[in-house]
Order: sequence, then structure tokens, then C-alpha cells
Amino acid sequence: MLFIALLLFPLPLLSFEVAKPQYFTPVTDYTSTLTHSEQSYINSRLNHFYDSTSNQIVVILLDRFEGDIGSVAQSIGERWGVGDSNFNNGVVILIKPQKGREGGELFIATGYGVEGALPDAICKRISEEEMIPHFREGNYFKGIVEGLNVIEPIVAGEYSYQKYIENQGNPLIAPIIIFALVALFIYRSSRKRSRPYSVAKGGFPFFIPFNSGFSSNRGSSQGSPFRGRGFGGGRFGGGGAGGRW
Amino acid sequence: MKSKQKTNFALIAIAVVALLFLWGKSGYNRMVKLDESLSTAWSQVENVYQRRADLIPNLVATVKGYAAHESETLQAVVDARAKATQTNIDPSNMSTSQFEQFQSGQQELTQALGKLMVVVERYPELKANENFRDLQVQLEGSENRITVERQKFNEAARAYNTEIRSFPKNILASLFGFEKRGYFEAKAGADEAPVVTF
Repeated sequence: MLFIALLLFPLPLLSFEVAKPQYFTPVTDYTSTLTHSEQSYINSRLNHFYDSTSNQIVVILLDRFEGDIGSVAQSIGERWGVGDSNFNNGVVILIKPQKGREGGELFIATGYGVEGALPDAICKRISEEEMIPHFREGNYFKGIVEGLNVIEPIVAGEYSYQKYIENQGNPLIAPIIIFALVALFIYRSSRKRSRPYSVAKGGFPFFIPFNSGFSSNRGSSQGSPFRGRGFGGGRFGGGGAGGRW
Repeated sequence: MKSKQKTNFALIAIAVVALLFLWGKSGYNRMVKLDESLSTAWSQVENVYQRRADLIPNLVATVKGYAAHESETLQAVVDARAKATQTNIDPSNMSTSQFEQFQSGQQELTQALGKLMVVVERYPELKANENFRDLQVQLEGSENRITVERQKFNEAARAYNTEIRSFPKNILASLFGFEKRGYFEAKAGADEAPVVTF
């Protein structure tokens, strides 16, 4: 019976597995596209974003995968549990860099809770207008940062996507944001040598023991001192959009 | 001596009954839980199909403005939508034939939409229209969501069916009237996301 059941339910989405990091890790680059310092910039930026807003955004770069990029991004989000399990406020940015003749692909997958703030059409727009132009030139870091510049405030609820559409083409805002973020980054990294997981909000370093009972902390994490360092169990329903170049 | 045996027997009987009760209780509660999650998954499936259906009037209106000649294709979409939204299923009482009817209705709509999306390729002005492009993205997103929710429903149905059909819980299940539920079959092409490429 079980055998028949297995035959009837091939799980195409699960056939592709990307190992889940043990702790919340914003950047996973399997393609060696980003330099170490670029990765640590994005890591510290998204860790900070998570600390201050509870939204988890992950950026994943893969050379190859099976199937449609949208379903791969969705299944990574779901399996890793990106975002909080109550708010489902995770975002997965999956990038397949261009390699030789093979075109590149990008998908911004939104958790259930982010679908309203970041509708598919906006994901598409952000992909095509903020990120892919830089990817096309081979500047992946810049594309990711430009994308995050727009995604972060929308996901955090600082401004709505309608405002983003209105502001599009306004050349003043982006440089100001970038300047502020670079300044923030320099300030932050001057205060600590960037060790991705080592600094809690209050600024004291703590160490996460390996194989700690992390998963059991999930869900009931209020007041747990480890709140914020694991994936939250957020779920994804196939929202989001992307593009190719 | 005899009375002692009797009390022993009575104690054992009570213990057995108590154990049976506990087993039945936990088994029953688990089935209820799986049943509930199956219903939730089903309502999500209906939601995403509804979401797609809701896009269609706007889509048809937009396409009409640019491609009035394609009234036949457009009418097919409208008809398929009307048919697909007719079938409503009560998740707690889902018969296989109802389920198949629902599936085939949605499948027809998928095909009609697919044809429409092929036809619009001939209208560059339409394809450049911002409103239409947003609709295309939303439609694509709906299809993605449909794939995901169908898959999640199938997983829930599998968990439920496995639970109620495995021995000895099947006795409990038939006692309380838990029945096997349908799922989305992976027929050729039916489980694949409808291809809507642009």
C-alpha cells in the first residue's frame, strides 16, 4: 500500500535538495560568485534587518537545479522555514548566475505573510528594474544590494509598494539609501570584526553550541535568548516572481 | 481463593479497557487532527483556484481591447471559468466523482488560458501594455500557487489516508466513519504546472 502511495505521489518539488544551514544564514553561495567581503556585507546587513524587523531574507546562488526556478525557491523557503512560523514573513532570493551561453535566472519568492506587501508584480518589477540590469553586467553584488534596498523597506512596512512605483525613476532616493547603508555598515563593522553569528543585539558575543535543541525552541521562542538565530519555520505558498536574462 | 481470582480478573479487564480507551482516544484525536489539516489544505487549494478565476474578467477585458478578433478564444476562457467555478466541494464530504469533476473543470480552464496566452503572442502592443504585464505576472503567480497548494493537499491527504488505512487503526477509522479521501492524481500533464511562458 505504501509502495502504491509512493508511486502515486512523486514529490517533484522535493526532488531537489539544498542543504539547510543549521542556523539562520542570509547568504548561501554555491557558485563562488560573491567575494568573501561581499558575502559578509550582505550577511551582516540581513542579520541586522532580521534583528530589527523579525523578517528573514535569504539570498541563494545556485549553478544548477532541477525544474522551475520558482518552485525551487518556494521549496527552499518552505523546507528551511525562512521567516517566522506565525507571520510567515520570509523572502527567498534565488539567483542562477549567467554561465557561458546559459542565461541567468532570478526569482524572488515571498512567504505567505509577505505576499500582500510584496505582490508578484512588484517582485517582477524589482527583478527587472533593480537587479537584472546589474546582473547582466556581471555585477551580482550591486544587483543584490539594489534589490535589497527596495525589498527591505517594503517588507518592513516602512513604505508601501505603491510608493515604490511612484518613486521609480526618482534618482535621488537610491543614492541616499546606499550612502546611509554604507555608512551604517562601516560603522557596524568598525565596532565588531564581522563574525556572522557572533553578536547579539546588545552587543555581547555569545556562542551557539552545536546540536543544541534548536528546533524545539522554535515556535515557543518568546523570551528565549536564542530567538533570532534559527530559521523560524515560515511557510511559502508559491508567491513571488522573477525574470531571466 | 476464587474471589481473589475474580478480583484479579476484574482488575485486568479494567486495565485492558482503560488501555483500549486511551489508545482509541489518541488514535481518534490524531485522525481528527489530520482530517482538519486536510480540510485546511483543501480550502487553500480552493483559494488559489479562486484567485486565478478572479483574475480572468480583468484579463479578458484587457485582451479584448487589443485583440478583438480573438473573441472565440476569449469566450472559451469565460465559459471554462464559469464551469470551473460551479463545482464547489464540501471538504468533509468529498466524493471521488466530485473531486474529479472539480479537477477536470479546472483543467479545462487551464487549457483555455494556455491557448489565450499563445494567441496574445501575436499582439505586441498588448504585450507592452503595463496592465497586461501585471496580469500576466499575477496569472503566472496563481499557477505557481496552484501547484504548491495541490502538492500540500496531496501530502496532507497521504498522511490522512495512511493513518486511517493502516492496521490496526483502520478498525478505529471504520468505527468512527473516517473515509479515504481523494487526491490530485499525477496524470500525465495534470500535475504539471500549466506552462505559461512569456
